[in-house]
Amino acid sequence: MRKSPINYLISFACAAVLWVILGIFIGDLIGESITLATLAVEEFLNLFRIALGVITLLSLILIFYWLYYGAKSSTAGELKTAKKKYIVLFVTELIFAIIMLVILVIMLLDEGVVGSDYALIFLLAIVQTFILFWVTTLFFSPKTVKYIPFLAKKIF
Amino acid sequence: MKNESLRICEIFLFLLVVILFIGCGKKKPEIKWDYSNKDIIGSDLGQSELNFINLDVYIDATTSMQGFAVNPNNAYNKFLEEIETAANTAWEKTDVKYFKFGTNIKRIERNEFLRAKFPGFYSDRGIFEKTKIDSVIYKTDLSRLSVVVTDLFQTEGDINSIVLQIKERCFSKNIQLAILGVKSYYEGKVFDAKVPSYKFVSKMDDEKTFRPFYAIMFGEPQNILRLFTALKNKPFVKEENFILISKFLVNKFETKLTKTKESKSLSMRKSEKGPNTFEYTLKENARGGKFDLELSYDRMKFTPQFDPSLLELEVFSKRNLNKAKEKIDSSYSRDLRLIGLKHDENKINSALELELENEPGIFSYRVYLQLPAIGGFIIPDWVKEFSSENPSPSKDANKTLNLEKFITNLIQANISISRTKIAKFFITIRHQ
Repeated sequence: MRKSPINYLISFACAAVLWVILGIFIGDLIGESITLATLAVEEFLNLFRIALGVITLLSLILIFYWLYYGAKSSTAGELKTAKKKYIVLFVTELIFAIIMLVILVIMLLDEGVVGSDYALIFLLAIVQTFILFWVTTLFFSPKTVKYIPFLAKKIF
Repeated sequence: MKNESLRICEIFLFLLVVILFIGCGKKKPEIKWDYSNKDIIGSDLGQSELNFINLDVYIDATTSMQGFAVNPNNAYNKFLEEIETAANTAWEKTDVKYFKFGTNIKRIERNEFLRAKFPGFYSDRGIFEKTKIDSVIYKTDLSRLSVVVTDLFQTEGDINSIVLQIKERCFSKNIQLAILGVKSYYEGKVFDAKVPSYKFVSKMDDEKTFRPFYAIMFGEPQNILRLFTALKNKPFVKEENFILISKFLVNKFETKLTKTKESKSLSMRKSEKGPNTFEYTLKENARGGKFDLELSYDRMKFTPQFDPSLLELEVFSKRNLNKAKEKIDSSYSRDLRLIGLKHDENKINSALELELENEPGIFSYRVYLQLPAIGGFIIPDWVKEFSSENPSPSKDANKTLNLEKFITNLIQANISISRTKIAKFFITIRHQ
């Protein structure tokens, strides 16, 4: 599971399944409860799903970069640098989630969306970004960098 | 390594089951209505019908009409010449039949019809004595366009009788009616008055002394308008002296329904059912909300003006309650109320208030905006100008007895068959 290209494929599959669960099913539940001033619920859900899809793609790009970097032979000799890189990627994932939230807040400024709905959207964005990043890197990182993801040493 | 792979596969399988479980929920069947607008704007004629017309021309051959035939260059004689020409202009093919009527109806050939420009045409025994328009009304048919040229009633009692016959024979069979008033030089005897018949002569150079005759057209509104469009280019035909009494008042309309910002329990959904359909979700325990309604419409030309401030809602609902095993079919509903209607030219704005029972389910409404049963229309000025309650030699000598009452009663009779509607829209509320 940690060898290329299986780890890439499984990471992609995890990201896709997670998008379906969060974007489609959880999204439908949000659609049932959210109150909007002028926008139709379907239009909001389209916006939400597209935003979630974009950050999924961005998240995948960082995951693939980590898998590529971890498989390089030179990485074995620079594990401290690898750890720093991992933290940077992890924080970047968090930034993606924040940017998605900010963009949605700006676009929905006149819709009267309540804070709890935004909190839920942010939670889903977090799951789709750095939680996804953490889980996939935890289980599918190349052997060289297997113990770098958070809690990897304790689990494995 | 193997355990790791197995664990991941187990997780995927679990996720798949969750997805299937959530995705395959039981949904209530959709509520359906007839979403077409044919009951508001009518239906188009087929292409073949547009190129061919069956036209029946009935000439009132009673004594009073003789007064129109004395001057070969007056509007009446020119009008008679133009009817056939107008029909040939408006349609590729025409089948024109001619009749003279009075006490009885008699089919005549074209060459005899052409003699209607001369006084001798109006002297046939068994015809010239009495104007019985009701006998002509019985001949009308939706497949034909009938034009009746007459100066109208002989007695006041005729009005109610004729209106009733038009209602039963025409309006209830979707045969619509239009009246064109044309003023013409007149020199003859006037009979349709409360006073004994009197002689009246117009002044050649004063149109105000001209006496009106009328072309009453029976048929499909589109055919009537087509014939009139061909006629109205003539100088003696005035567009403002034409009225179409049709159950369809608008050519097109568009509604826009948005919830007010205060109605936080309502969420707008996208409707896939087409224009003038709206869907909302209503939160649990909420009883309703308010909407802003915007209506824009194109009034069918020549139909009488109506007073938009008198518009009323007629609402029917269908319900599919979560608790009920079967859906509840269409019934009259008071869940929606119209509040504060404002109008400006061809636009109407109003608030709509919704209050429904606190039951989860689907509530679907078919909403009509319609005119009241009485008093919604404005009688055109020309009708009032041409009409008199008591024409006599000393006053209103050239006016038509109770024309205004006749046309008012016709409009009322038309409404009594089916209330005139100017818009229709649908609202579906999914109550959680």
